[in-house]
Amino acid sequence: MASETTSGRRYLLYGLLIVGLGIGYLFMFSNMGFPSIPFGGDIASESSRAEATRAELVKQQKLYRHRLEELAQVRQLASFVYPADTDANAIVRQIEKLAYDSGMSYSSLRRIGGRSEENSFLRTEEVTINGQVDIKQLAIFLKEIENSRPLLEWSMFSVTPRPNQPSPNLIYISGRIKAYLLTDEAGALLSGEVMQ
Amino acid sequence: MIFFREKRCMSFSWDSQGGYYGVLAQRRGERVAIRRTWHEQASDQATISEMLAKGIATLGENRDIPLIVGGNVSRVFFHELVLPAMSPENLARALEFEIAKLTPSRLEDIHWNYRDVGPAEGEQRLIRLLCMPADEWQRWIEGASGLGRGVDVFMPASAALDPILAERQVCLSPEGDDALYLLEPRDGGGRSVRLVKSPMEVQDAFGLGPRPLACERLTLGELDSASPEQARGFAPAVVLAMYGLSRRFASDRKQTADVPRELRPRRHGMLKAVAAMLVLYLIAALAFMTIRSIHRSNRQIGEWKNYDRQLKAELARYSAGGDVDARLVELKTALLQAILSRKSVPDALVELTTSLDHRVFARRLSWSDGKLNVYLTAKTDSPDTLLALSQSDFFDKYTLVKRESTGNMLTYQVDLEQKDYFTRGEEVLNQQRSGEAGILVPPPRKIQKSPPRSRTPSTSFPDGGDLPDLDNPPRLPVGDDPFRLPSGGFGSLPLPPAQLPAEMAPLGDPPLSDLEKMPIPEDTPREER
Repeated sequence: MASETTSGRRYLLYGLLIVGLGIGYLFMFSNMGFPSIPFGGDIASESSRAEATRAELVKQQKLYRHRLEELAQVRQLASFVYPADTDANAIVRQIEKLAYDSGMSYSSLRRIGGRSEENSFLRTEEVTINGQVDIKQLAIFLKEIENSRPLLEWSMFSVTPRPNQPSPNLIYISGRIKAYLLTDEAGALLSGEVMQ
Repeated sequence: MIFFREKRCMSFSWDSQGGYYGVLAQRRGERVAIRRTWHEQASDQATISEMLAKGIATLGENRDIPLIVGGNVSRVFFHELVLPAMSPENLARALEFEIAKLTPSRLEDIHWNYRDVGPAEGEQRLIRLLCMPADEWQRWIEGASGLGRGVDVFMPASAALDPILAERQVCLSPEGDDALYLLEPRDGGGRSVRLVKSPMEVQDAFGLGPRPLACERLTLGELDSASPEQARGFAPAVVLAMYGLSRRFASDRKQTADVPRELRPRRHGMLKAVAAMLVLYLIAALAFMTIRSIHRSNRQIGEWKNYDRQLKAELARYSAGGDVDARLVELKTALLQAILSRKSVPDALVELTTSLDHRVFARRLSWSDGKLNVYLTAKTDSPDTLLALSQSDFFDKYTLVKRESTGNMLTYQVDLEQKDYFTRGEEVLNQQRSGEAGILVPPPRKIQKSPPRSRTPSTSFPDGGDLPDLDNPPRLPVGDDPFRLPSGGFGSLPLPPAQLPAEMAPLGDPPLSDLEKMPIPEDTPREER
């Protein structure tokens, strides 16, 4: 009688409930997962996180600029010494050229010993020179050594006059000239590789 | 829908003598107008279905017009009950209990229905119980089944009263019946039944008297000219039509409609389809907007995450160096120490030359890392021959190792230790380590004969101050000053590009431009960018 309509609605309700439960079951026990519904807070959280990262990046960039300025200063200082990959023979040739430019002749000029580490950033090469030289040419040579770039410096120098020589300006010199070279570690540091 | 009323209604009834009556009524405001009528006497072989089909054809077939089938009123018994308000299920059980008291027949042999007429005393309801033989009900159903269209309600006219004709006496007995049952309004609601002998006994009752269908809100149309006897037959159909156009019809239909499912009208199909489509469209639009909103939000979150990832990747580039800063400082210190702790041979020679009297000759000289061993020869034994040398602040140590006299010649062996020429430079270096000052560079040295000076060795500038005395600067090598630097220090020293090894090429600006080019998600406020 009159309850027929009510029963139909009840069955419809049961059906909807079963369908809803089925959908829930699918989501819960399958790999689909419940769809994540984003809220305004999620976006704000992500944006504030990115802003914090950006602020940190700006800070790091300022530090990086400062580091680059420091690096530029150190590079200029490093120009006073030989680069890391300098061949020791190049130093000998450089001294030969300075002697040639000074017009000074000598008996021998050769590299002695091996490389020695001054510290983790610098090492040295030494070249020995000796011979009978004219005192004026020696003065020029000394000046050339003093003004050379990269720097060269004497580690030992001795002068002995030769009174029996035909010219009083001839003296005998013996000395060792030292050159500073960057180590590989310093070279890498100055190249900026470690900053990339 | 309770808020909507039909504008037209078709109703049918019949009587015990086989007379069938049908009307098509139309609502105009609060008035009801009878548009068409149909009456036909059925033959012995005619079925209800055939007769109703004829009536519908006569009145005009239109499936959108509600159809009420009233049947034969005389076959329906009604009884009014005052019951408390209750659910339909409980009411049905209560009515079954009442039926058992009212009739000796089995419940299975009776078809019953009810109509909630309205409120009664207190919180109670006036229920009009309708009972009829089950076989009669079956005949109604079978008759309607052959129509090929739906029926909205099967209801006898006696059930449709109130509020229709609520204040009037009504007689629904068909023409020719000996017994005329007059339904009189009762105090407190409901109807009582009174038997009248003649149609003219009660003049103003609906269904009796000279104008049986006269009613204030009813326009009879062609029935206005019908004879009283003819008009009486239409009374049940007219009552049903008025009821079908009333507000109560829609609400009552939910409660009392016991029309079999297969007979229910399929009306307003297009309207329902359009409504369903609209609902579906709304649901789809809402779902689309919701999904789009979720997608947009997810996209924004994704963009922010992606932006954050890019920033972090960029950040990793800057933090890759680790302890680069500390190592740069160490390297700078090592370079400065190597450069500034240099001891110059020419400088020592110049100092010797300028410090010694022109009568003194150097016979032999050896120099090793700033330590000099010099053999000097003088022709005369002048007491101040070595005075200037011993007082030179260029040398840190002065030691007369040996003094020999050979004839009129004197020979001196002197050990000298060249002062660290850049002691002041180291002081400046220390200042630079602590970040107090840049590198201060002394001006070029003027070659001049040193005046007599204090013998006191010094590790600082002659005036003992912390800052260099520019009027009395420390001495530098002869000629071009290799360490002459601009006043800005090493930091501003111009460097020929040719002297810069390839691996020391400038790194260039930090990739700030990359950061500026990096896309920022759209919803970021402009001022924050």
